[in-house]
Amino acid sequence: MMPKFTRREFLKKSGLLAAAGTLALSGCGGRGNEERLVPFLRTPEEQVAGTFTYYTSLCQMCPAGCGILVRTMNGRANKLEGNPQHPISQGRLCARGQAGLQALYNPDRLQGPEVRANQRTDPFERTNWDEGLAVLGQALSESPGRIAIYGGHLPDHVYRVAARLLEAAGGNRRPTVWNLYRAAEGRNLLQQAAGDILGAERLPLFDIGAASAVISFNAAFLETWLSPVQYSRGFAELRKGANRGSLVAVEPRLSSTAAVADDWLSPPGGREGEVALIIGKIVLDERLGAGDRPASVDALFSQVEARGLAEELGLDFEKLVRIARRFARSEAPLAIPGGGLSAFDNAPAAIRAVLALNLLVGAPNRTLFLSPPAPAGGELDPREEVSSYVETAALLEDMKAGEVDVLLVADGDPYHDLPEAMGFAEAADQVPLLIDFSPFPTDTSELFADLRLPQHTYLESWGFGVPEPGTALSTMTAQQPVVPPVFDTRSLVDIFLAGARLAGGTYAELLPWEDEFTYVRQSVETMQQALTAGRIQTGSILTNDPEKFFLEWRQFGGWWSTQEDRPEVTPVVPSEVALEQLVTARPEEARPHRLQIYPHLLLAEGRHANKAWLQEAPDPMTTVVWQSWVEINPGLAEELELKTGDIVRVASQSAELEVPVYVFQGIAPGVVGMPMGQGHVAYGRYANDRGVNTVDLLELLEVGDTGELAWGSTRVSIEKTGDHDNLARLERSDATELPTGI
Amino acid sequence: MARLPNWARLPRYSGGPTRGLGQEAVPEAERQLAYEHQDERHEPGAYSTLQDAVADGTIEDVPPTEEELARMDAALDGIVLRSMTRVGAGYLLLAAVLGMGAASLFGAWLYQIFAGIGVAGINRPVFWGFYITSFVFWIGVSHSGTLISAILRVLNVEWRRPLTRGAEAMTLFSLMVGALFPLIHLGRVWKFYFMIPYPNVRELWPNFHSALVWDLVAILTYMTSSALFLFMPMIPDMATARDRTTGIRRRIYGVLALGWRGSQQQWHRLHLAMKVYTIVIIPVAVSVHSIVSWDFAMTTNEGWHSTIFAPYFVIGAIYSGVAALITVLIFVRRGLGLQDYITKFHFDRLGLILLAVSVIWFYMFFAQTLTNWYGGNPVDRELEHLHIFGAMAPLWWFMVVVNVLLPFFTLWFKRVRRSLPAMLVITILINMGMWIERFLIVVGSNVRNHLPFDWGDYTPALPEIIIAAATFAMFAFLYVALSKALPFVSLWEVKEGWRLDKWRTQGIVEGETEPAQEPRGASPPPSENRPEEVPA
Amino acid sequence: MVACYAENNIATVGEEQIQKDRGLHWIRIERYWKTEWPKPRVLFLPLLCQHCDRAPCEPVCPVFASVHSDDGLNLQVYNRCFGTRYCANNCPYKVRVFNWFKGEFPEPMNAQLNPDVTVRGVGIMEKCTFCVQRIRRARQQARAEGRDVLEGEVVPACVQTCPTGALTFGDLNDPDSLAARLAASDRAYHLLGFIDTEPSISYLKGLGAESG
Repeated sequence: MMPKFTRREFLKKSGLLAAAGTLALSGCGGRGNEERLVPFLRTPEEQVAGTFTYYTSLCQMCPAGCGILVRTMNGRANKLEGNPQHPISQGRLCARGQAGLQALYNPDRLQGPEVRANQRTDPFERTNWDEGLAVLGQALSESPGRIAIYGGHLPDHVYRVAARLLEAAGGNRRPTVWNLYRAAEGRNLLQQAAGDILGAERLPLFDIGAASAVISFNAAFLETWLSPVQYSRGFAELRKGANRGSLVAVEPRLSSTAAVADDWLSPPGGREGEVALIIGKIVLDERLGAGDRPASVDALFSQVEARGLAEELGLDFEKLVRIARRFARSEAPLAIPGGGLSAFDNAPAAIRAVLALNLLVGAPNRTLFLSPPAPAGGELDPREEVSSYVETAALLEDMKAGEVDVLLVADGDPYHDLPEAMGFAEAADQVPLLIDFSPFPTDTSELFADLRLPQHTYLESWGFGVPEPGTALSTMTAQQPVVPPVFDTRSLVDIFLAGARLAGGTYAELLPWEDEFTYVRQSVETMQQALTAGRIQTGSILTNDPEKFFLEWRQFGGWWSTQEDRPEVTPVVPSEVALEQLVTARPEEARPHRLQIYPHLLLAEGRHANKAWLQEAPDPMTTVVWQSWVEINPGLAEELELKTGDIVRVASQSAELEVPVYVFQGIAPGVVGMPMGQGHVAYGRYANDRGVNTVDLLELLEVGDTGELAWGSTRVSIEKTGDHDNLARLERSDATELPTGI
Repeated sequence: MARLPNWARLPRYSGGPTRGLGQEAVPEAERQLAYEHQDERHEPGAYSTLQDAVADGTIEDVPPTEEELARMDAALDGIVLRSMTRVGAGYLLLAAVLGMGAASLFGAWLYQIFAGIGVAGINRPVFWGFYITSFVFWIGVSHSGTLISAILRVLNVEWRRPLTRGAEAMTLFSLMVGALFPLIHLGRVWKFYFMIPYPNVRELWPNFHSALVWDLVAILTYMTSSALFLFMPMIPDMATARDRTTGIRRRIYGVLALGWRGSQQQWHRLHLAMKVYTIVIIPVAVSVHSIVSWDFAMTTNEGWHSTIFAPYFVIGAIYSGVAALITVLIFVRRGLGLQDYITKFHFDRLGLILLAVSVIWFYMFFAQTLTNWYGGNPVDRELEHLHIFGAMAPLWWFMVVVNVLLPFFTLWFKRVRRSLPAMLVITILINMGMWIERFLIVVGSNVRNHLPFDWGDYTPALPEIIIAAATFAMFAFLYVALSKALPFVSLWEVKEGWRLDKWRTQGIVEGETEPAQEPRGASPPPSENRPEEVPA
Repeated sequence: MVACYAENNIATVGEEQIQKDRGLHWIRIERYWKTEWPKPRVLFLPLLCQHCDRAPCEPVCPVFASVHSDDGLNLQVYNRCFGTRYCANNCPYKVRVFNWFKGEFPEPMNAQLNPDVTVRGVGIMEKCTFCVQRIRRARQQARAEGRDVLEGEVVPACVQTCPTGALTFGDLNDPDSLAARLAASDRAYHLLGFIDTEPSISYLKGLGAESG
């Protein structure tokens, strides 16, 4: 290949040549370098040079587990795409997935291990890996049973190693994976309800694409809930063609999912389950129930006084009747119990009510399935398991009680992500050694860590993932490094393995792998062996040769079955699902508004606040960028004489925040909406001192005896401060400003 | 019997010497008489008294003799050239202040170039702001100088004589200021030469479809022709200056005089050239502002793409130009001590023109607004709403008051037209209004467009404000600085006026040279040009 | 939106600049309230360069920085542009964005830059190119293989990534392509069609948008 000559270089060189020519008084034209000026008539975009190399990998920007394609040139990744063959993403990718490159090339990434002396206020100093790992190894060996791991999202392969690490450490702990984003997914509650109603305690699989009428109960399935890319593809299927399927959204705040629905019903928060009952009752009354429904399901709905309840919820009964008819008469109805239901103390009952509605209209095994198991069965478990709120709180209590000597924080920022009332700060103060593995400086590491051992980003390390919820095809996605490490970092698994090796003993026994690659390689072989037992012919990789299998696994981005193998639902209806359980405790308090907190579409719970692309991409409903805001109903705005951008003081029992108002057409009176995501203090230049950390407002109310946090039950008051901020957003005017005529 | 002093007749055309003549020129008695009548000479009653006096034979109406004319010439030369050569402390202070003002423009501009155009307050969708507003404004101001001068010349209006030079200079100066803005507003001004059509290795050629290229051509043409229009009639004055100065000045003026010796042939050629040029420059002037208007009218933007825009802009330009001319003349008259040559009579006449133009402008403005509103196009309606009731209402109403109501209710009155302070306030207000009118046009249509999601707002940033304000300093600075180099009264034209007047009233005296330029109509009786016949 | 930033080396400008409405979004989703509370209905309008056949931006540029390509794209030639912003003024869709300052790509973020796309300097207009670099690559490839560019062989980053498949891209000159069929359907309309810019993008009545 000819050396590439840029115009700049040409100018530089020609300048040099001219200078040399003047000195030597001799022509320098005969150097053999052909130099051509490219005229401005040619646009640079017309000239494309070089060839891209594509690698498959696994997106870790959220827990959904989309397969991706990474486009690279000269060892640099410059674009992420969905892997067209991957069952979950099928060539698509969401905004957060796209921004993975800004995790990889984040200007604020830690460039190597850092340590500081005892005082946690000291500045960090660079150290080398040997010393850093020695600290880890020593800590592991010296504190058996007194080690804990916290993370916001641990990839499946990391979780498995982390779990083994804790197993080796003794003390009966498992990695604590919990934050408000995970809480808002409501995985555990949904699994439990599925156990009650669908006969297996697995995540249900909602086949939106196969449905023709969908009712979403507080499910932001196009945004952040569980597997948004998969659901979005399903939604596209639903809407496609002449038989355009319908979507009804039942939720107190108009999310962008609800914004594209045909109808939006806004019952008071926490009473979505009752809407399911009303619809079920109408279906029963109109004799529209599925013929093959379990007989016992009728009992759940027959007692409902539908019209009165609808009135109580402030909903138009006639409209509900129309919705219910369309729903039940459609070929493939589907009711989705979304993560938003888990926000209230009646969550289990509400989710069960919605699942039962599915049974009533015959959704099981038409649109409603169960998530397929891992390809290798139990061999590759444990996959990542989300902890409950109570487990997390217990960890913090242990820390406060001084029962944790070493806290390993992996890919999470507990100081930021956990509500202030949970008291992470006090807890962390009692932990003698806190090691943070985040590739970035985080609030937690900046304030509490003694040692920072930055891990690779997911684009630099090996791994695998089994999506949960998956698709109809059981899948094990490949993750592989696509670029050389940008900085002196190591993969988290390698760090754990190295630590275990240094600690020796049980650690070395339970974590025998040499490095991450060997571990992943072996895991894939385990899967292959399991598949060879009978399923290899129905898989995407048709070879028994381990070498070749591993190669193709990486080449195509994973293994997945080619035949649908999702487990069927065998409905069971426990008799104890009763209407009474749906009644939420609605404490009448001094604070007039219910706080509806929700994960930011782009920043999630805040882990993406350090990516400029995601900060600059507008929230679809408000078009706000780079900021926090509180959404209030136009009526309330009028009452308090507030307009968009006015700063208010939002106060709950736990905290008080000052934040600009967004007057939002899609939120009911009595509710105020706030996205998570901002309010970092040490998360890099794009995140620092920006907006407020809204999770701090949360009160710690539990969902019955499930151990989950009722994150939607906090009540707040709003008070005008008189300040104003030009809330940065894309929209420039409200339609309300349109004159009616002069 | 006293002789009717020269001023009593001559001021009708070109002002007359009362102060500048000094003692050696006018006998004491005449001077006394002159002062007595100075303020009333244009008052209807006073003038007729004066005429009565002539009729009575109380005063003898005798045209100036050749000798007196020569003394008057000398006095005029003296005044003008003295102001050109004398530099006082006050002048230096003024020049320094204005010079600093002008320099701040370049300072702010340099800052903008190095920091990026983003330091200005413009944004999406308000891509054009103060800069283009200022551009249109200054091009508008430039309009009147040359145009008025040319039209008055074509119509052979005698009282134009002491005004033309100042007017023509105004055109050139405001063009120099205005032409900066297309450069200032560029994102990459260092590449401005991309627009100039010349063969180059970039294989680029400007796009002659673009109204901006028309602009470039039009403005450069106008600038060149205005400069020539200013310079050509200045040649004899350069010769005068050459003959009355010494040293370096003499040499410079010698070059600028282009070898003028005042020969019959030279006078003939000058007059011929001026005749042709005067006619040719009128369409050039009209075209320039039409093209500036087409920068807007050729777009798809609501509020801009209007067929009436070219004449609307032209008349707006004349409007602000005439107002600016009056403002400038007030300062020039005062600054150079030309009270005897630029008299209240001139302001009276210019005031009348201003009144007429303001009414035509209002008509255009009304037609434009009415069709916008009546058309019912939602964007246009929203635009009108924004102007009349919305955020821009204070500006819009200010404009309506000072540009429509104020001139209409004041300029009908001769007393107002003759009051210099009043005229100063009115013309400055009118130009403020015209600046705002341009702002409303440029920014108004930018903040409202077809997609309400993309409606914008605009707050000018400091560099923009500095630059926009500094242009006024720069304009004044050009005047102040060049007042030491150029005669701001056309000496020979004024002198010619005196002689024409003499010949008109007296006929050709044997032995005297024939006038090079014959006035229209032979010897009109003085009453035909009487100022008091203006309807009050 | 983010895919577009990644593909086209678009700089982020930060909160302050967005407050001044100086974002560099080549594609934006405009959110309109058809009706407001208590029965709010939302309309999302994805807005990107419409690649008009009779583009108002093209004739007004004094230096031919806004030009039409032979395959119907409306291109912006960055190194020719000197920033009169006339094109942006004349764009009825206001999809042109301007580099008010020099975009920042702090180390190592510059490693991500797409080598096919120019990084724009200060004072330059830019806008959606339909990912022209991808089209050029596909065309080179097709030419090397002696064939035409195939349907679906090339799509812009936004179309490629959109999870809901709201955008369709294809050759309008090929009557069999999906884009051409959709653009010919009864549901198709042109945004601000009355201005008669003959955009290449058709929107479909109902929901969503399709491009061609």
